[in-house]
Amino acid sequence: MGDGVLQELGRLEALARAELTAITTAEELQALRVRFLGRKGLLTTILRQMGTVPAAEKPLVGRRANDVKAMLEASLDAHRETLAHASIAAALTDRLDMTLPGRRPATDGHEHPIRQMTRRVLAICTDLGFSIFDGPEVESEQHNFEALNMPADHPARDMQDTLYVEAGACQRLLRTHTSPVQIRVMLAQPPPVRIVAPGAVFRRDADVTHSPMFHQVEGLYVDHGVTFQHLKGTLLQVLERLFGEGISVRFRPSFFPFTEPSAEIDLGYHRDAHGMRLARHGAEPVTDWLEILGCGMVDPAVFEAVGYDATAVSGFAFGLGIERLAMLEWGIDDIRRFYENDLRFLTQL
Amino acid sequence: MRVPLTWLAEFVDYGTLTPAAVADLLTMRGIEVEQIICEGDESILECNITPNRPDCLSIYGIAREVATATNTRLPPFPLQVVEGEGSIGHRLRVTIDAPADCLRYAARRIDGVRMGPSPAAVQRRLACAGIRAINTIVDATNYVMLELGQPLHAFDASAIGGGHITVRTAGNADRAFQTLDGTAHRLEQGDLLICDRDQPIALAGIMGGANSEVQDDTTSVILESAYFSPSTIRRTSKRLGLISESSRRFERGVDPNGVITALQRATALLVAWSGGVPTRDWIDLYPVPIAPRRIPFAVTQLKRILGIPVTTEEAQAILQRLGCAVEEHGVTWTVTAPTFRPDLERPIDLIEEIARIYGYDRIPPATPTITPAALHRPVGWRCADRCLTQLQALGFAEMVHYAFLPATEAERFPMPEVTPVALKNPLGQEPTILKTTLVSGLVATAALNLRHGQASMRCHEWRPVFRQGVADIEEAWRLAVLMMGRRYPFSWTAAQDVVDFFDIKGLVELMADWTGMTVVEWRSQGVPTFCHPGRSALFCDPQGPFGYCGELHPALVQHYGFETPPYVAELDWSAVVSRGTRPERFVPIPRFPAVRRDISLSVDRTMPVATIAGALRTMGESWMTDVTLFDLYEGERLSPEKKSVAFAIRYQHPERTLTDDEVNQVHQRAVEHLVRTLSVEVRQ
Repeated sequence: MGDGVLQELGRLEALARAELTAITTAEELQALRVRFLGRKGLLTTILRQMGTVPAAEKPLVGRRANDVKAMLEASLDAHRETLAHASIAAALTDRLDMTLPGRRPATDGHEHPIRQMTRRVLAICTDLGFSIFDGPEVESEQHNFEALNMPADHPARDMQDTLYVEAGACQRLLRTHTSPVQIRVMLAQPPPVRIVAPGAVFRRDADVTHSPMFHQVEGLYVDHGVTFQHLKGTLLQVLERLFGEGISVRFRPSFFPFTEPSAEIDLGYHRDAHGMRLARHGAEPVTDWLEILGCGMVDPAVFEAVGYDATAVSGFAFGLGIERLAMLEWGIDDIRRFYENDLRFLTQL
Repeated sequence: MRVPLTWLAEFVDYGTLTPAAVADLLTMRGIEVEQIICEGDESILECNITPNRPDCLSIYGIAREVATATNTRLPPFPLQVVEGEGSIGHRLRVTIDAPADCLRYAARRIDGVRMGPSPAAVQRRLACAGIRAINTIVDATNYVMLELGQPLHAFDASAIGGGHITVRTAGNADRAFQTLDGTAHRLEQGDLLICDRDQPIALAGIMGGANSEVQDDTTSVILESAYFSPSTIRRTSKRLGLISESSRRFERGVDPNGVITALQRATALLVAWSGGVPTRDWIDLYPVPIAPRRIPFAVTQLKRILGIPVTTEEAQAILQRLGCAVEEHGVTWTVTAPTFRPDLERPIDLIEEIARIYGYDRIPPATPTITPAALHRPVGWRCADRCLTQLQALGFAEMVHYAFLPATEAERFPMPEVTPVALKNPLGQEPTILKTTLVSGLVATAALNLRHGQASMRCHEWRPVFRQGVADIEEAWRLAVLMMGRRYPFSWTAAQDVVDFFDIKGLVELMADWTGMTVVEWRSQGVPTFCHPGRSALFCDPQGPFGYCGELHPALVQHYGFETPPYVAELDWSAVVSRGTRPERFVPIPRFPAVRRDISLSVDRTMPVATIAGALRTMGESWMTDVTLFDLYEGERLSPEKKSVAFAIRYQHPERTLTDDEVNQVHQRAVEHLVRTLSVEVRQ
């Protein structure tokens, strides 16, 4: 009987080898493995006959069965390797037209240049330790003017032609600067105060360089011992971080009702046949000074309006126009571009 | 203020300084020279005078600044009094009935003048300063105004009825008044008037009347030099929208003690240019003289504000150069400010003057030492940042529109139960209202971009809108989005279909995820009327609606000429900020596999899909963790009243692997539940 089993094992091996040569896919290979070597496979079927093999032959037949199984497994594994290599080789034959355009998940989105510039300025200010506060766009005369040392009938009000809204009994206006936020914050908390207030502001004015709505970032720092030197030091930091090192900056006396002493800061530009650019490191002489922001030491009248002791604390405030910065940065000629929302404009920046 | 340099040089010797150097000198001391104009051989500085410096609205005032800056002496302006004949008392009487508004009034009469053009040099100089030459009399008053900053007015003496001038405020009888520019103005109580016996002859400090203007045949004039209350002049000038060279100076404050100098200077020029004989004396009503202000000044304040120690000698010298008198009492000084500097009232004003003349550039910058503190950001900003960044990544372009729009446009986008707020003084003639929705702006912009060839676009805007509240105006932030045209970028590979309601709804669902809002209901009632009533919805969380989305109303699609309808959505940002939640704790990931079973149903075409999904979700099968619609079919293969829907249901147990039998049992219960409770048929 032992011979019969040995013969069957031989046939099984030959059959498996023959079939293996025809197999070209991993799935077929798996099916083959199951058919020959599986729990209910052909090899198992043969080995069930082991009971009929005489005891003396059993070791021989058993060895032979193990050899056949091992050989078959080795062949199957080898064939699997071959198939894997072949399939990689086949995959590698593919050649795409690399010049076809890519498939984009969406068209390009854009952050409005006003927000881009605001974000830049705010990032610098928060790095320098300023908190961000916002406030309403519709304001009271008290917050927008009176608390900022601009009483009614004061010529300083002409600097900011105001849009008023119909609000029944209470007099309301569209804030002409974000300075009312300073007032709100100072009314709500004691010094020290170190804040910036970004936002939209409104003036009754419209031409190439004036828009009835524009954006400001206004800063305020109030504490014991804050001086004009600190104002200069801080704003030089802000400007250098904004425009890069080596810029030419000048502080020029000016007037704002809510600060005293007041200053305007000009940036030095060099103009030549190629246009205008920032004059850096004194390498090129300044030909034009462009006003970039207004600032000054907080007027004692403002401290008085919010109940701070003007003899104990001092502070500085500054305000810069986002559109103006953006116009300088990107060479934009007309402030109205920001509000037309023409995609041909927005998608450039 | 235009300053011809030859005129300036009459008062101050600035040596060999070039015009550009003079301009720089002034600019760096707060008198900003905007440009230098060359006319012939004259250089003119165009100065931007800040409202606090009325003294610099004159050549002499600018000369004082140049002298201070260069530390040279400015000779006092010479007072030259022309001899005259006869007493003015017999020919003019002046009464001030409004002493709070008119603090000083001076006048002199000149007879026998010959009207004619001023000398050519005078005409040229006036032109350089930006004032048109008219005749000797008017030119003399303008010349002195430019020189000294004191506005003057010349009346035709024969037009002053009764030879009596009264300065009073307008009463009920004063209705209208025609100024010499030919404009009729409506008067109101409180307007300060110069009147003769019968009627007003000038709007004090602003403009003379047509009825008393000097004429070609005028032979006698009354020259007026006065000091009016700045706020009185400003109120009337502002109300009438009538701003003159005169009102500009009066409302900022002229020197009350320079009134006579100017009167005499004008008299001298007038007599020199047009002949005539002035009265021997003049009227000068100045019941309560305005004394120079005395300001107590603690010198230590200088260092406290400026940070640097300006020496007391230098500080004192600066103040004296500016015309102040300084009395020292140790560290406290008393500084007497000249009356031509009404802006010097408080110690801080003196500190500014010292810093200004000392030179801002000489104050070294210093970095403050700050104590680190928690940084505050406005509520909802982080959430907005996330949303805006995500939208941008999805191809949305951010827009910034004006906060207001013409009422006619606003009417197309009414928000239910919202009373809009109007502007009192809009920029143009058109009534303008504050926006109640951001969608109006996005739609108008989509139309504009369509005209530029953009048929597909995605855009958004985040800013406040406004409404009339019960007590005050209410302001609330909104996030609005618009999608129009192709769903995917135009390309060789993508399907070319256009966006529809479910794109905007999907975006709303995403935005709800980003902001931590849970949408529990899509409600078709209460959507703004500018949306298509059948293709729009309010979306609600358990507390109520927090926005809407939908297709733009066909009437508006037609109005704006859209090729494909825009889809819009607007989120109530204050609701999102107060109600949105972000996960606060980690939830362990289930360790045991989920099993999916599908169910395909045939239902009435009108049955909302949410009814079926809702019925499954409310069964309370705790192993059922998700229900997703994955197929919807309406068409030929079904009867017209039916549609077929297919859901994938996910089953999962948190603590062990579910057996096939267990899943089959629950799934069977789910199917039977649907069949029992809804009129649905299971499709095989």
